[in-house]
Amino acid sequence: MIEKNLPAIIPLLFLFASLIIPLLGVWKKNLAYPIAALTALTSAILSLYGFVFVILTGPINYYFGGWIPPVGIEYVYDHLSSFVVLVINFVALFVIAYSYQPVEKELPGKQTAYYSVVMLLLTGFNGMIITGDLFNLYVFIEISSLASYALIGVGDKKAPFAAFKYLIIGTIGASFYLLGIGYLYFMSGTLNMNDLYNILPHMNDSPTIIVALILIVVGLGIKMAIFPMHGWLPDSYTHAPSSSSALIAPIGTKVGAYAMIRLLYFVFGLNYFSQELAVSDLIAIFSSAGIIFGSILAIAQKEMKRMLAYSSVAQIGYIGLGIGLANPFGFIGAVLHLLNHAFMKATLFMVAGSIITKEGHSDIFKFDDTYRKKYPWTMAAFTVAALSMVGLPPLAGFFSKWYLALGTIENSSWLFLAVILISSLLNAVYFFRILEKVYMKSPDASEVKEEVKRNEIQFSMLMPILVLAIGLIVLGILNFIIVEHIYKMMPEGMFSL
Amino acid sequence: MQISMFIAPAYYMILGALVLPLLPKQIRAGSFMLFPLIALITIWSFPEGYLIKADFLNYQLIIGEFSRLNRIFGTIFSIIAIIGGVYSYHLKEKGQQSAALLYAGGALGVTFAGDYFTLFIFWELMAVASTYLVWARRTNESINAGMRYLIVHLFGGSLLLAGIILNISNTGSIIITSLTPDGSLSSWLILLGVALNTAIPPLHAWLADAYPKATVTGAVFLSAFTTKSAVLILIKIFAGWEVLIFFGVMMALYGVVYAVLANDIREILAYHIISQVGYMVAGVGIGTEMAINGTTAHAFSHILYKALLFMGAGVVLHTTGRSKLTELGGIAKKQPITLWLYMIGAFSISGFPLFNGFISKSMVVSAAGEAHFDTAMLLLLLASVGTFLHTGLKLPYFTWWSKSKEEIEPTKPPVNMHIGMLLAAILCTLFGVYPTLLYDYLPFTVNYEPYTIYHLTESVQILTFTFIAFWLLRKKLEGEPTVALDTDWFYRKPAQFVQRVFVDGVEAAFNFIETVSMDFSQKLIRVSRNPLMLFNKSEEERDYDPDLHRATTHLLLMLIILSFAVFYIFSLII
Amino acid sequence: MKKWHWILLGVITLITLFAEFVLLADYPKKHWWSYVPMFYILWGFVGCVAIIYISKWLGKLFIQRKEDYYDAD
Repeated sequence: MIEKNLPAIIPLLFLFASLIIPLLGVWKKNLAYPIAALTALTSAILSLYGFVFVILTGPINYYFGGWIPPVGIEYVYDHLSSFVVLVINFVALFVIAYSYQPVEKELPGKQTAYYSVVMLLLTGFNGMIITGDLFNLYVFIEISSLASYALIGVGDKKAPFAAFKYLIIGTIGASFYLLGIGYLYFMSGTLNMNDLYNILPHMNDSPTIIVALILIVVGLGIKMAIFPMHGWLPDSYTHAPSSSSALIAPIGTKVGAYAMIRLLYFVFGLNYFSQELAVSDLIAIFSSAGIIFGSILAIAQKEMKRMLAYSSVAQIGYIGLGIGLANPFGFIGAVLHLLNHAFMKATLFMVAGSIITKEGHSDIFKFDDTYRKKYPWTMAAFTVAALSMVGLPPLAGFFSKWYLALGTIENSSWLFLAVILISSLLNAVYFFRILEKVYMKSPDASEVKEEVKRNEIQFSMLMPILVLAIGLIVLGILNFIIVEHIYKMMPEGMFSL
Repeated sequence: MQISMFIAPAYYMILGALVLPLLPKQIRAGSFMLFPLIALITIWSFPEGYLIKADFLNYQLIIGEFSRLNRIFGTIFSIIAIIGGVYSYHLKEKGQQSAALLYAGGALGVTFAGDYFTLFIFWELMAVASTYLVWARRTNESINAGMRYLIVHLFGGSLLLAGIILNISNTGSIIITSLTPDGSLSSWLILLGVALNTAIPPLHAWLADAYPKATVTGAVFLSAFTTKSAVLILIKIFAGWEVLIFFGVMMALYGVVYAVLANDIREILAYHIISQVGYMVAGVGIGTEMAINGTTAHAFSHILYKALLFMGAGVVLHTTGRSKLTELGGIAKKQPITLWLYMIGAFSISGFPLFNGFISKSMVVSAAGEAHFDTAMLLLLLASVGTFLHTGLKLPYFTWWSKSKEEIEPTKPPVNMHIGMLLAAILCTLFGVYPTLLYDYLPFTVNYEPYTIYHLTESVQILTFTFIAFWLLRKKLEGEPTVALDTDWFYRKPAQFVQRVFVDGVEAAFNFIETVSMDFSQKLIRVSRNPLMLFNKSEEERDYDPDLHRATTHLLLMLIILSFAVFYIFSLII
Repeated sequence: MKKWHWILLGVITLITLFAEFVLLADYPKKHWWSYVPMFYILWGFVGCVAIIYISKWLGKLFIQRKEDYYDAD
């Protein structure tokens, strides 16, 4: 019984939590965190259950209120969406678990409001993933965006402006998307994704559809932060509070990427956007530019969170490149990187947050050798995540790049292959710089030479970091199992390409 | 991945690297030697020709291939890891020991790999682990040199990877097989990647840059693994590629020339690695059975005597704090053990009868002659002259015997360093006196007899008169405090300039886009009479400061509209 | 280098010359240089001198620089 309703339960669980937390919070302030953590845990377990269920029995379709499309709103819980839901909720669980200490330090007294908004954010994300209705997707985009603006705006002095910029740009993106689906509705009379997939091939030559596609691509591209539409990202990730960056950075853009994949591959169809139009090539070109741009600017940064933000631009470029290649290996690379990057960036941002909590700053040039002694486990987790980002086997990061590389070869796009290889080198530069400072550099002589004792971060912060870091190793070793499942996620007809 | 992959020899070393930091201080240094010993036993416990396989995706990996060739290389790698462990017994820090075991494990992994995927994984592991041994010295120079070393090796690794991927897509198979020189891009890319690790000029500069700046004990490990494992891969894939003969001979002489000019004793030894590896590369190029035997024997012997030489130089550095010829001298009477153990290494490398160079290097030279590459043979003999000159004469003379400007009081080295040197020296002599001990394990049957009157006469004549020439011209060989430019100039001198490009270039790009969009928007305003937005002017600033260089919101919006326009144009109009 | 060192070297040289011209008189001549008497003596001496001079010349030409040449980075 519960299985049939799973697609609805997961997002609604978060919605209820976001309503309950303020109610109970008025009564007792410190109930906020446990409720949030409990909800995240329940959702993660349900997502896992759902994923296994879908693998064993097949997709679940849920119709809200019993109304079938095109009148009603349909929720589609198939291989791809159950997988992404699992990834999102799993990572979110650990970040929320981690967030207790940073939230208390950076936002004292505001836990109730904060966790309520976090729950809203996750409602929005989960809804975006599971929904099968275009307008419903817009609604959840706006929900999650509004929640993000709030979560970012409560950061440091420059945060409100960063959130404001994100608001302007994000709203424009959502509006483009809305316009796009408006045109689609006008032409086809339905908002349901499955229906559109069947109807659209009959309307190929209409310029309206083409404009709709472009509007949707640009709109979702803004959400996904593909270069050059990424401008909101660096400031937002840098100035947000540590737990917000750790929550939004690994997950937010991934959901945008998922939406892009869903719309392009499952609504417009592979043939349309890659063979009839040049859209896929343009996405690939922009993504490659983003990869190089992000990597180079990351090298120029002095502050760790900003460096990670530009690094995210580059990593999203990889996913975009996979989408743009429009062949099986590219698809696998994109989905695999979606998974891997969520884990890697979550670990990295959590480490950055921990350093800020302990040292009060995250300025790379002030890092020194004592960090190795003070935070051995944190730094070890950072090293694992950094090596995975560079793409050293057998960590997870290597395998997504491997598949992307195979995808570029399949298309004989040597330029993109070169971009992938060069960017790995660039990644090595900015990560190894930190590693070298933390493991090698002696502190300035002017510092007091007291015995440096171990001052590791608390267990509540350390445990999630370690779990995700170990997860990277596990994901790397087990990646061929994951890839087998990704094959099942592809739209029909893709594998024969 | 099945359980069977965990019994490959490489894994014992890697296990050791992970376990070592957790052991209590007292037994840590001793346990270091346990792991290569276990690896060595593993290597010999499998029957010849056995394959350890594992399944991965659609491919079958070969993680352990126990051919004769692999076994002999694996044996010497394990032996030198043990000797290195003895030599570094006195080290207190855990990092270097773990890194050394990881590095040795990577080398073993590369040695026994039967497929490209396994090969690549261990190749990268070696690069990363060995970088630590350079960084661990913690001087400013070594940190920079280590960074350069890492980047160069990662670059070589990407070339290798590109070649591997192309090869897989061309042939569909990941098994390592020998390739013919057919000019395919994949073969050349793989060759370039392997050539970088083998230090074939012009891809060699990293060796002379990084090895002299590594730690005293780290350099011993460095000298053994990277280049020789790459030579093994050359043998497996590129045997008989005649272009390698040319490069090998060129390498042999190149190293000799730079060694004349080098002032740091470990830099001389580093350039000599390039010279000796040149013999091995030439041997691979010749490709006959005798040549491959010679290359293998030479690699085996070279690891032993090069380690011995580096250990000696390491003792000098450790006890006097100096390594430049211009600053050393006059300590012969104070360090007799070090000096004479070093000299055994020097005699070996020069090919003195009774030591292992005599029975191995000459096999390669003779193979050249047998295959009618006369010029190559003669030039390799010339390189031997140079080898004796620098390693056997110039280095020890100016380090120990000649008068120095000031009186140097070397400290006493820890006894384990001498024991390590002694072990290596014993092995050098052992194989020199009983060459069959080594010959029995070479890949092909050996038809070479080193102790002939002809060979003895030839060697003694060359060595004697090289010595005489050296003695007469010894003043000319005094070290000079200079730096020799090498091909790394191409990426070192421009580095400063490139660093500024990353900052100034980005700033210039931002300014350009801003100017263009400002013009465009002003025209729009005149046409549509919209209210003005405020524009910022940016300033000239040297460092990247996010606050000053933050892209303004309107700029970001312009970019969005620009991308929309691009999509539109490409979809509807074109 | 004491006097007896030089005498020792001289004796060794004579032994090798004996080996070359007496014991190896009928040895098959495989290369063009086998026809040159005392070739290896010449090769060792001249080769050593040549290496020293040519390397130093190349060094003066363009390879050698002052020690702090790279220190700007």
